[in-house]
Amino acid sequence: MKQREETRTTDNSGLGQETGSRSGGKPTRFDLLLLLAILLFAGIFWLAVHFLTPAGNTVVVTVDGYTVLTLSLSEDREEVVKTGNGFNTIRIKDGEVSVAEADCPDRLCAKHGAIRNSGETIICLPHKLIVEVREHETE
Amino acid sequence: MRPNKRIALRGCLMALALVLSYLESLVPVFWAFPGIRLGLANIVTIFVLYKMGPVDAGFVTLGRIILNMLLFGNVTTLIYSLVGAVFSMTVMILAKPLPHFSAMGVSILGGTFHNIGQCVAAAFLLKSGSVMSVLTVLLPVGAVAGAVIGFLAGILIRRISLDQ
Repeated sequence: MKQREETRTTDNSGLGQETGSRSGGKPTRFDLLLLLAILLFAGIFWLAVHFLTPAGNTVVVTVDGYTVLTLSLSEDREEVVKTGNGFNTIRIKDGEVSVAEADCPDRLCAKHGAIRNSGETIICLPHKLIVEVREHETE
Repeated sequence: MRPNKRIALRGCLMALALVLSYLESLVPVFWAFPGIRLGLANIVTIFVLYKMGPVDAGFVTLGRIILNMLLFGNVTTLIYSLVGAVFSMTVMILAKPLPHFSAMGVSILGGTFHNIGQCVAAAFLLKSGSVMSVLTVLLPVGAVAGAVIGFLAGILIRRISLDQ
């Protein structure tokens, strides 16, 4: 352990000569604290989104900023949304919405799991399409 | 460092970063949340930031992004990459002189802000602020990916000397 400490200091001094900087490659406890702080912040953020916001009842589909489709989450159905770049099939089943099919190049929207909580989104970047769950909105 | 050596090193490291980006694109996405990457090329960025300086790190990153776009991407991916890179590079260059933090801490901030930058870009391109809710996933993921990359870059920073 002591030997390790020594090599650390020599390493750091070597580095200091090279770059003129005192910060180095060896992780410090502040790095881990920073990581924990970000994870904690994200955790609280996540809890706020998932538990303070109730399950939504409306699905809003927007393409390039315009709302093209508003659906109820309680009704199982499938809708094909045609955008200027291709199509996305929106599937509502058991109170959850997902993108069942799409012809975008990366198909990330189709790989995304189903969402049900208010504020959650599925995004198809190539088609500029956003599927968002909202609450208390009727057609 | 002599200018010609600096130019040669920039070129070599840019090529290395490009290969790492390509290798990473070959690995299938196996996370539950699609689109998440480790950011292997950022090992090079952080190494250059520590061993050569912010200007060189900017050059290598910008060069890698443009070459990556020409070889494998399109203009849309270029916008996302650029905005993410500008956010993370700015934060990392500002964070590097801070005491107490090593390359790992700088990289954690870089990874986090890269994802914040991409969300901001998405919010503008998709004309919707609701994109920001994705940050609940992308913030911790960026921090963890940054930690792994920073840890690896830290090993290289300690082991490799460019002064010869």
